[in-house]
Amino acid sequence: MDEYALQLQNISKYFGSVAANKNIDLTLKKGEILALLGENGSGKTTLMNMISGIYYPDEGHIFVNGEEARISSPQDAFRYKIGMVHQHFKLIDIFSAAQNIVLGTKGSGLARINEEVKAIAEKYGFEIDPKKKIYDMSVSEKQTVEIVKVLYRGADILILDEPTAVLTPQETEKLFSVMRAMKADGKSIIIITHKLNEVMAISDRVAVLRKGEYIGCVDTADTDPASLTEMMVGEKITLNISRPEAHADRPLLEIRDLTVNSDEGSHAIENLNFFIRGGEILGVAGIAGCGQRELCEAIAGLRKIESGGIYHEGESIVGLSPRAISARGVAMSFIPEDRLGMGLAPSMSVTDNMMLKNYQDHGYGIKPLPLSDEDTPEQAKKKNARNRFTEFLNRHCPFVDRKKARAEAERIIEELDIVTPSTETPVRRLSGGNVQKVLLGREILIEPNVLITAYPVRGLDINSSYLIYDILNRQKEAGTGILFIGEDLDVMLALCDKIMVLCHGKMMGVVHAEKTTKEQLGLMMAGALDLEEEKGKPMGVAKDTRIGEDQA
Amino acid sequence: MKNTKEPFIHITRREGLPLWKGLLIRAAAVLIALILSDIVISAAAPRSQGFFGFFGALFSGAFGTERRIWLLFQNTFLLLGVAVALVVAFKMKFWNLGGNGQILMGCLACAICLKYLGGKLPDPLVWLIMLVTSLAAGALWAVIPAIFKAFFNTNESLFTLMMNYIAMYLVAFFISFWYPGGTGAMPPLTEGVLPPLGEGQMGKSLLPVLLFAVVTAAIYLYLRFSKHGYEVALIGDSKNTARYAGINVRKVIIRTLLLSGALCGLVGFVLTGSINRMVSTTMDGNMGFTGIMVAWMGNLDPLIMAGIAFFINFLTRGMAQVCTEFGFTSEALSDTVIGLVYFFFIGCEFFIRYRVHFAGRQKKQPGEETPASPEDGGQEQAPLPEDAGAKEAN
Repeated sequence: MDEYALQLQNISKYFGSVAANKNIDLTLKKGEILALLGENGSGKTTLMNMISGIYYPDEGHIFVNGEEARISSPQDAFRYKIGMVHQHFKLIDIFSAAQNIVLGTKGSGLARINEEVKAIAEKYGFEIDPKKKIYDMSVSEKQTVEIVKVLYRGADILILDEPTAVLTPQETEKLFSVMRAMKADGKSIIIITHKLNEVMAISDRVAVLRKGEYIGCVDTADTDPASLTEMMVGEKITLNISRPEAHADRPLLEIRDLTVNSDEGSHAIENLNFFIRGGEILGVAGIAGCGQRELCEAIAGLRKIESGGIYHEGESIVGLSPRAISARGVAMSFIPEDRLGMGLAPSMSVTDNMMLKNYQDHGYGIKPLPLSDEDTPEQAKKKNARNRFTEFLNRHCPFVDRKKARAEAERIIEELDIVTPSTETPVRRLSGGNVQKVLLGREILIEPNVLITAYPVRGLDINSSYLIYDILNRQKEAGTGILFIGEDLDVMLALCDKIMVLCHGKMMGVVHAEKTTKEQLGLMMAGALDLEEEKGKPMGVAKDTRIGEDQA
Repeated sequence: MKNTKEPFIHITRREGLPLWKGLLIRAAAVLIALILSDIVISAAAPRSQGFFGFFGALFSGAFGTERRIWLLFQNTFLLLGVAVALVVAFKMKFWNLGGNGQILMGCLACAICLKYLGGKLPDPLVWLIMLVTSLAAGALWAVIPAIFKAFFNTNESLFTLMMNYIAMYLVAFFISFWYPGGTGAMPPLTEGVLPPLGEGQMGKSLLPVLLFAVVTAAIYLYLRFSKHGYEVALIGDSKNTARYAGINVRKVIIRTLLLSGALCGLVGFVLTGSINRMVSTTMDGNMGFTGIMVAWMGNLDPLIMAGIAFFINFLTRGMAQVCTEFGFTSEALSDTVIGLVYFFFIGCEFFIRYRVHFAGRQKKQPGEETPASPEDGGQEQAPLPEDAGAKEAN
């Protein structure tokens, strides 16, 4: 039994009547990297929370190094040398790295801690400055602090919950080499991820969960992405994202010399120039915080711009209210990190969320009288007068029209296959994929001609992601110009027609998705490759998205 | 499946408890609290009336005479009016703790009108000016914190709370300004006040009962069906989302608090203009705080809140009678009993929302905590399992 660092037997956990985990058996050998794979809601996080002491299992046994363990609090977990790095960092912004690392332990003086942190960093190949404040750090630096924090407390079993979701390809590679160093040192690691190529690259074994049940565990060397997907989803699915031929026509949205400030007052977007044509998907790649959010907000009219112009179908929309911009057919769906914070009201029903953008236009539902050719001039005049009056009434109606919103909700639920008990269910009770479909559904309900969508598949599993890609492709084929702000480069390479790369708010270049590589994009995202500066026309540059002299 | 290492108490969330069961649990909690109070009071009373005497006095205090019944309804609807005013702000997650101050400002504005205009202008005109200034004064007291909240994101709880004291001292200032040599109390005014609507207590109580019944119904409709109500709920749920929907959040905060404060001012108008005909520093009757309890115990639903307001006033008036009959001179005991009933009433929510499992009796492990559960914070619905970790992270 001693070869196992961690062994779970028959673990079950129920939330009300829902089984989040049912009779899970799982083993983690000493000095191995185990990938835990499963769709959203398959119970991965719940299971890990039980190992790290946040939940207590309803049934079953946990063995650490062969001995039965009772882990009823995170402190217990530390005693058993189990440490978890959560998907959402739990760091205190105004403290330095070292202060965060020592928090909650009986640490020695700060000078010594700095030394100890440096020692740990050197041992495994981290790059960390113990004195740097968290608010000055990039996402990957913060993650490093989280991992060092766990190591500092002497963890032998590390659980990493979707650590690569926020990293560039280069940063991911760095993380993996650190993980290999830890493995060589005898640490056991469980990594949760959605990305199959990463599973193949880093893990020794893969355990798969589906709908709270344990499906099986295979050696990574003996498997491939297709069979893993099959285990995860329960059926064979193809892993190719379709990219219908783009019928790019006239430019719908033009951005000229746009400069936008961030909340802190620095330039978030600097002198940006590009345009979106109808019927194409323009991807925006960049590491977190490179100005994507500010760009979206500026276009949607939610953020003041410093200089430059935004033109929709040739007319400037700078200074218009968000409602007026949305009325012109510019729709935006932004999925933030917490997935509910923007665009949806979590406690409100699907119906109430559906009317978020158009409740102002709700009237009494009085229909205008139909005009016909047989009307005498007098009748027509009367009818017109009455119609003007009903229109006035409708426009000034103080009440919302839930009946109309409910009908819209039903339509979206039907069209996008949203799984919900009813139209009156609060959206936070829906699973992640369905929440995102509600949001996207509402945005396409207004039949936009420009759709800005940021992280539409954030945190979604394979099946739901493909449904979202389908929706976007359908919009594209209908002639909508789509700005797709994404984080998974593999997906962007497969889905987008062109990809624009931002680094610190500056355009690094626009490339054709078919003619570029992940490595090139990664270099551009990190600011190491700037196609805008280079004269020699490197590979894959898409010229027609960049405003040329003739259009300027 | 039980093993010896399981914690002694294990708590899981209940789902789908039928309505009648929930009501039964609440009724049982109140009954247990009252029986406990009865035992304590009967044992300690100078003139005990026996076990059933307690309940007799309780009901006679609330319903004993026609006058008592009307007073009960008058106080119920006044309290309901305040609670409804607060709910308007609470729906937006704006914690308006300044009900007392807003009521007092309404009273003060009304008293100033009576003092300086009563008898000098035709009565209906005085009433109109009283009404408008009372509403404006209450609204002003709520909108000052709202403006600071909207533009500088100051903490509205502290701000509204402090405004209470300013209002109280303003009232004290005006009383000593008008009656420099007096005891600090103000004699009732006679000119310009609202006339009773009928004979006896009914005539006095009819106005607040009718007025606040209408106000409650109107606010219920406002919050539930109007575009304004939708905006209020949206901002309460997610300010970012409201902003993304193109709502002017500042405007809505200010507009909503104008309404909330004006409704409190309306209570002040009735208190001073009709019921008491004067102003004092305690005229709010602490309804600004009791109203908060009504609002939350009533789940922010005006219909349930009406029941809660009635129940609270029933207890208050009933206990006053119990104290008189049982020979207590201090009000402390009455407050204790009311507190006990609140305790049981609110405490039983735990059993409505959670099921408690006890582990096998064979091995009791002292000093054990229940497992830390991130969703213990009293959220209404169980988060989806995958969601739970994220919630906790927020």
